[in-house]
Amino acid sequence: MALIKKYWSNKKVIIAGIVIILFLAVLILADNNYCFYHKTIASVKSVQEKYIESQEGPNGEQEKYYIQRVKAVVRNGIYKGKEINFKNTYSYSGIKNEKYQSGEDIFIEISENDGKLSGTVSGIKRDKYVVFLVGLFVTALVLITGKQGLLTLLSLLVNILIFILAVGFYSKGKDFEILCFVMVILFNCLTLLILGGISRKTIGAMVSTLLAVAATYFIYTIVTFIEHPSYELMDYIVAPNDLGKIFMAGIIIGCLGAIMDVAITMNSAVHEFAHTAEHLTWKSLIKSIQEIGYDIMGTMINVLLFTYISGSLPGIILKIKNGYSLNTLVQFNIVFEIIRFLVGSIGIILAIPISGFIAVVFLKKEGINGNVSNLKHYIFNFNCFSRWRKRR
Amino acid sequence: MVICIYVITLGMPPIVITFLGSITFCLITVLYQNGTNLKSYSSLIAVFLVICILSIVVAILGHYSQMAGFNELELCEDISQLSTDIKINMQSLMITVIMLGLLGAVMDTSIAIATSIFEVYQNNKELELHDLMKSGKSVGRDILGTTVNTLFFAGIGETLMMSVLFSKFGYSFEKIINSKVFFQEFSIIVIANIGCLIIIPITTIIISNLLKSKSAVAVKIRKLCDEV
Repeated sequence: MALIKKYWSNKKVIIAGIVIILFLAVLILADNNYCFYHKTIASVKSVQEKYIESQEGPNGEQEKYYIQRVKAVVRNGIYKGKEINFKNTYSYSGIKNEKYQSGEDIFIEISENDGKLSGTVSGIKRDKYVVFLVGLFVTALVLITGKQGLLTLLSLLVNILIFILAVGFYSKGKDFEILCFVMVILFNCLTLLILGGISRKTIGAMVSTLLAVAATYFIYTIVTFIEHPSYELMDYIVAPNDLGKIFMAGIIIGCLGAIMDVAITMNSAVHEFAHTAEHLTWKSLIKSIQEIGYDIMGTMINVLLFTYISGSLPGIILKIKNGYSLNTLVQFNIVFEIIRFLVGSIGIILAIPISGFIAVVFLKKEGINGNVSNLKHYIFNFNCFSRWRKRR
Repeated sequence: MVICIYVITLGMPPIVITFLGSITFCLITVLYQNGTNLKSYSSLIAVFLVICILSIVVAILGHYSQMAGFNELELCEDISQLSTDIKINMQSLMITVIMLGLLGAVMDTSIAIATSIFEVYQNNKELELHDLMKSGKSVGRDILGTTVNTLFFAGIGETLMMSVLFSKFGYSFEKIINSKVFFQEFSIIVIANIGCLIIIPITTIIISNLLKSKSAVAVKIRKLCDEV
């Protein structure tokens, strides 16, 4: 306990306490907001399970099937307070079916037959879990990072707002490519400004991010011009005529965050290097830029790899189990994940020399032999400096 | 990664694979990039702790919210002809998916913090435990903003198609927020972010204690690292 006390000040604990109480209140509200819904909701009261049969899978597995007798109470609408019984079948894997437990809230479509109620389940009420996750995230953010955490939260909120607006504009018939460019510029400028404030470093990072994204877009356009990926195989197809554009926008926005990260690190490191090094030559500057680049490249690409590949895991496993070969999988199923990951990585690699160059250009304007008298500034920047010095 | 997937298809429980797999990924990445030293060990321990904590959270959450399995949108597409009798529990597979998703980001944050604290310590060995923790906190604050945004944008990029679909078909807010597909994507992003957050104090506490503590275990580990 003493350790934790050393880490956190009392004030922060109080603020976090307020946040937690606030979220508990919202959570309780979300748990009981049945009256806001038009659809009928029922709470599962008791469940009886029985094993029925096992079916043989494609590779001789014995998949067990169970049947549930569910007793539930309707929470809103005209049938409020009435009890309802229905049957539900589920399997061990639970790929297409769901297993219900007592205490869960479910959306249900009720039909009345000779005064007897029966229903089919159309989904589970998940809003309280969304609230729970957001609450956990915000509490951790406030507890761990304080004021900077609030800024991060602000930038996230602004970005989500822009995103929702953009999707709204698209459904009103605007071109997605133009929307994507607007989104990228807005995301980029607002995020960097909120996180970094107005400074030479921020502007440098902004310019280099935009250039790197433009370069990535250029390369992507050339490649898809030569060889079209068959977009028809993609997940969640909706509008066949601009699939390519939406996919492109997804890729560009996906790598934007990583490119921004690289640009910020690069700009602060070069800035710092110029301010602390005693004898600054072009050669040493370029060498250190390469070194920083090498350092951040590996971890950033790792982040993208894990984020992108993990999402397609269930689909891949199901298909392997059904006898798809690795070749077919790569060709038809995970090809989009691979494209996404590769374009993202290319973006990161391109961002390194571009932001290095931009940082140097901005530095030159400032005068390369910057004054080191500002000690406070030096201490502030030490963090960025030590980050790129890792692994040396 | 490929080996991991194949082992799961062979019928091993996904949770075991998650732990073994993430430890292997960490070992390879951290030790290859950093060498065997105090920094690597402390970030390894920290990453492992975070994975344990979050697995429990995800397991509880997944148990109640039924987020495992294939979502509404995937179901109407190509898997509808496939056999679903594969005897792999989707609930635990979901834990694998989320844990692997956050592994990269968590490792990145952890290494960055461990290295900078180590660097600070090397520059000034008289620093107290309190000072080391303070510097860890400020480094964490610096890194966090960009990491959160990186994860957020990667998530948005991935779910763009889904959001367009939602808006095209005019889904209502209540339908979106209660749908499985939204909850899956949303929880992947948010849990990865939570992982990045809680790794900051965990790494800080572990490495500054390993550096400063007088307990037998810490002394032993320090000695071990000095010898290497």
